[in-house]
Amino acid sequence: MDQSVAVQETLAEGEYCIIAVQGMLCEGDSRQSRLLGLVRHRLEHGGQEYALFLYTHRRMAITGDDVSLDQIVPVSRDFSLEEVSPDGELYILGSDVTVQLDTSELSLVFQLPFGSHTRMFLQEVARACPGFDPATQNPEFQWLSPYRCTELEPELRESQTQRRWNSAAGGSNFDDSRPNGKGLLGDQGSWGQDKPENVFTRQNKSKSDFTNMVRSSTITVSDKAHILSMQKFGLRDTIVKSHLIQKEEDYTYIQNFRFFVGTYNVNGQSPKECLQPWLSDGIQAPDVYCVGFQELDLSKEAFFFHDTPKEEEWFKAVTDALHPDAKYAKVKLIRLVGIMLLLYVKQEHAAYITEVEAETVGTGIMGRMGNKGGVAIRFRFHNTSICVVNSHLAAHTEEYERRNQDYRDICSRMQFCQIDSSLPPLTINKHDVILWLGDLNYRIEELDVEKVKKLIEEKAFQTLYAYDQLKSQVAAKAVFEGFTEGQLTFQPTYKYDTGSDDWDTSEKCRAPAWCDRVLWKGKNITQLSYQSHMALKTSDHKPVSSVFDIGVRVVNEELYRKTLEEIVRSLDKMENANIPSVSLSKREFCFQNVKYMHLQVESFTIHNGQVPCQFEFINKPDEESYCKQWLNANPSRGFLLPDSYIEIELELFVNKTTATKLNSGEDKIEDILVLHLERGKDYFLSVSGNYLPSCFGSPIHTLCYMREPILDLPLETVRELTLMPVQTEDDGSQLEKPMEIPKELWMMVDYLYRNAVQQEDLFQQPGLRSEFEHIRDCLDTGMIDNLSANNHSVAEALLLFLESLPEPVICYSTYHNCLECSGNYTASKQVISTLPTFHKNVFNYLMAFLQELLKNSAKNHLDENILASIFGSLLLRSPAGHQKLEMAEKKKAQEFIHQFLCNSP
Amino acid sequence: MKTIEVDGIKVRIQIWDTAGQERYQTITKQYYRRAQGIFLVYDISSERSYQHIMKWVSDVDEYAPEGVQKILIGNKADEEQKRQVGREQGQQLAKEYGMDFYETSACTNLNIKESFTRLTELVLQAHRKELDGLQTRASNELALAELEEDEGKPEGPANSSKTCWC
Repeated sequence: MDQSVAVQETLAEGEYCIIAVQGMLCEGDSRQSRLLGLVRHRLEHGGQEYALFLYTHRRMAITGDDVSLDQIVPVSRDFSLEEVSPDGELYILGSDVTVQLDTSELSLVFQLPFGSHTRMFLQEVARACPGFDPATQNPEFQWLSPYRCTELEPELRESQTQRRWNSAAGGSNFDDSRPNGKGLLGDQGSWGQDKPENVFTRQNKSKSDFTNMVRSSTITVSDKAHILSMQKFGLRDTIVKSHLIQKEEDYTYIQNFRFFVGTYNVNGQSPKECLQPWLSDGIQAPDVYCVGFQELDLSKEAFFFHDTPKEEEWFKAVTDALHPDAKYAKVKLIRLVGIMLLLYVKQEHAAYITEVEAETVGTGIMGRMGNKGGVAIRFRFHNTSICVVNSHLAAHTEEYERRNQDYRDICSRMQFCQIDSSLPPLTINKHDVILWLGDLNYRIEELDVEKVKKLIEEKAFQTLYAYDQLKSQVAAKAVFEGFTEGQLTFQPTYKYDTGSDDWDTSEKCRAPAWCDRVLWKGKNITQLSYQSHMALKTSDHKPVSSVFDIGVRVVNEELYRKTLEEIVRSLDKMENANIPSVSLSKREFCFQNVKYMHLQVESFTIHNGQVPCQFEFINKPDEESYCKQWLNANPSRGFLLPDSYIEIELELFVNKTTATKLNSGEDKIEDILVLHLERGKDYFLSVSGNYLPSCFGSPIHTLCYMREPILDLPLETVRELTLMPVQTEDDGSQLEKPMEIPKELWMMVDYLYRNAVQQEDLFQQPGLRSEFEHIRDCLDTGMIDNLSANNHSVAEALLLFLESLPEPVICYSTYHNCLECSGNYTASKQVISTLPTFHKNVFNYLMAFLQELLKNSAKNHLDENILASIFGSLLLRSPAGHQKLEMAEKKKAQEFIHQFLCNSP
Repeated sequence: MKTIEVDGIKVRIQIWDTAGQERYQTITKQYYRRAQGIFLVYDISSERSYQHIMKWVSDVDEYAPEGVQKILIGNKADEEQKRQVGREQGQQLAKEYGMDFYETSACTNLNIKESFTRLTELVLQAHRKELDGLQTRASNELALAELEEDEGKPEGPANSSKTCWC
């Protein structure tokens, strides 16, 4: 049941519960259920913030009514939710996951149910944690304030928090559980390696000496190999790992290690004898001990409560009897009722034991209970994965099918978690080496008891073996497929009268059998011995041992590092090769002698490399467009397939908006374009050039002061004159006497006056673009005599000239006055008289010319209305800019001009 | 992108090579903001590039985030016969600005790895507090910008070096 639905119902709009999990809030001995919901809030300006909402709830929460908000923990920068090893408790694999939640204000401990949902929850929370990128803003959590009032009273919470903190801080040193600070969220490997301190601490008050003993064996199953397998890079790490597995042979070599494998059915007895004859006599100190017991405790208590003092007794007995020539570290103990498996390694090997997991499978009563079944420990020794199974299969001679079934159940149900939770659980068969020991309970068939005993007496074990059920079942491929067993050279290990070497004399008088066996599967395994130990008489079984040399893949650190580096480098290389990259045919563009309204185009080609790429000219920081107004890139964005190319045209066009500043030197033909590749680098293109000043775009007064053609003047003079304020009064001191109107205006008007007063449709037909350029050049160079153009072209040039004036003939400041008195000629004349001299001159000059045209209206078909509508919008321009003029304003501007056309000055 | 290991921590560094040409400076300056570590590179065979370092340093101080880590690099150390800037000069300048100094050669692979590792170390140290956090993050990306002062070639030897040793 997804309880996030219930949480969602309590949230405001715009907030979303990503995932919810039910857990136990632990305070001292108290356990209270809480629903933990991870809530996301999207911020208006982008980005998101997260908080953990903690709810009390009355049952499995289905709707919002089932939950009530207890407190909110914002996922701030100091927020952490980390898995910790439960201290002071027996660690049981598959038990709850204990997590500690810390912020600068509080510290809470929760137990979350074991499983993938919790794992997912922890991953989502980890993802929600704000990074440490200084560029991102600190979360502010303003959205939480509406919820705050529904939380517990602050004072109450304060005291609770205090208590929680104390209990957490006083309880244990959590740092212990993460050596080098690496046991962090997502490092799931560490919880498979319980520390010996934790294993038996439930009874540690009465058995402190015992605990100390275990401690002194300092098991430090280091996380050396772990660092490599930690999930720091997500997918990338997975790729690295798979490459490492592929190349394993490059950096590993096979080294033999000696394994001792022992199995002993102790018939519920406590240890009464020293176990050395079984575990260490007559052999060299093995590197690894795998010791299994069955029937450790036959009491009902052990069966029902899973609790037995025998565990410690036998553990101590084994620990005491390990080979005296070496020091051993206990790696793991796992027990299911009476089936116990112990794994020790020589201390110097502890650092190379990783990924330890242990599991149990019960196959007893109802096919599930623990009176029969198996336990297993899997681990990685250097680079070889090893699984050790201890099983106690169904009893009774005729029940071999049942035993086969138990074996199959153990194989299928024994599943180990993987470090990477996204991978399916490991099964026994997925290991390089499998060692299977136990009381497999297979009997000797078809022979009566006496015959069996006789064959044993004759030591005719080969003959006897022919009647062994395990042999026949394996031969029939009914069980232990692929496993090997060494030759049986010892007499059956079952059933003896306790305390003797005598065969069972009880009423049942069971036939002797090789119940206790050791089998293996895997490469590079050599069995050195396989024997029973008659000296031990505690049980009705005799213990069995087998010593192996097992070839383990050992990592050559040097080669490993090299291989890893190679892989990382090749991945980097691959990644870099996937960064789009293009080549540009040209990066510097020079536009020479740019003229007013003369389009110049420079083109270049973007050749794409091997990666599809999206390109775009991007704005430079703090700028509003990717290039200056007079420039345009076409296209300015696009997509390129691998190995394809595209031609980009840079179009330079100076118009009335940009001309003035180029004349004045406030702007230059200079720009840098940033060509940005999505996920790739930025290329800089530089644009340079020079602009030839023009009368187009020059202010009226500036032109009046230019007695010479603009192109004959030094650039410096053009600049100065262009920057000169409009209202400059002529003081006659430093400047030449200005002309009354711009000579360029006079040239065009004069030309029209001489050639075009009778021209039909003057100002109403478009000119020729090429002729405009000719007219512009004539005006700018003063070569008026050369001017020969179509009347319409000159008329259009005149209109363009008026349009390009940075300050219109009727100054912006006078615009509104003019509109106001557009019905009143006297007032209008009054307004005109207030214009700056040159503007006034130009206005009057133009009006006179237009009236001249009207005199010829019979020929040129012009009338006051046509001219007023053409010139109204050129002479009177709204200071508001190019916004669409209201019809009324337009009309008034025409009316204003109209008056001057109708009335003689 | 490059992955290197520092103190057992895998660090992914993103390297930007900014154009060294003066005319692009107004733009490249804006790129400093996202850098955590910066190489200031001059060419030992160019006195002029060495002189420019002062300008780079002041730009970096002005535009790069506070606490950005810097290392001074004298590149083209293989071109001994063309040397115009002495080793001591480099050391002296580095000392003045409190920077580490390496002479490197992209061609002979001299000190390339060392200088990258060192700068990464410095950046990690500067972010020591966040280090624990860094380990939990899915990826640790540090951005190292590289200032290339190389006589008007925006794609300087640092670029060619990448093909040499990456």
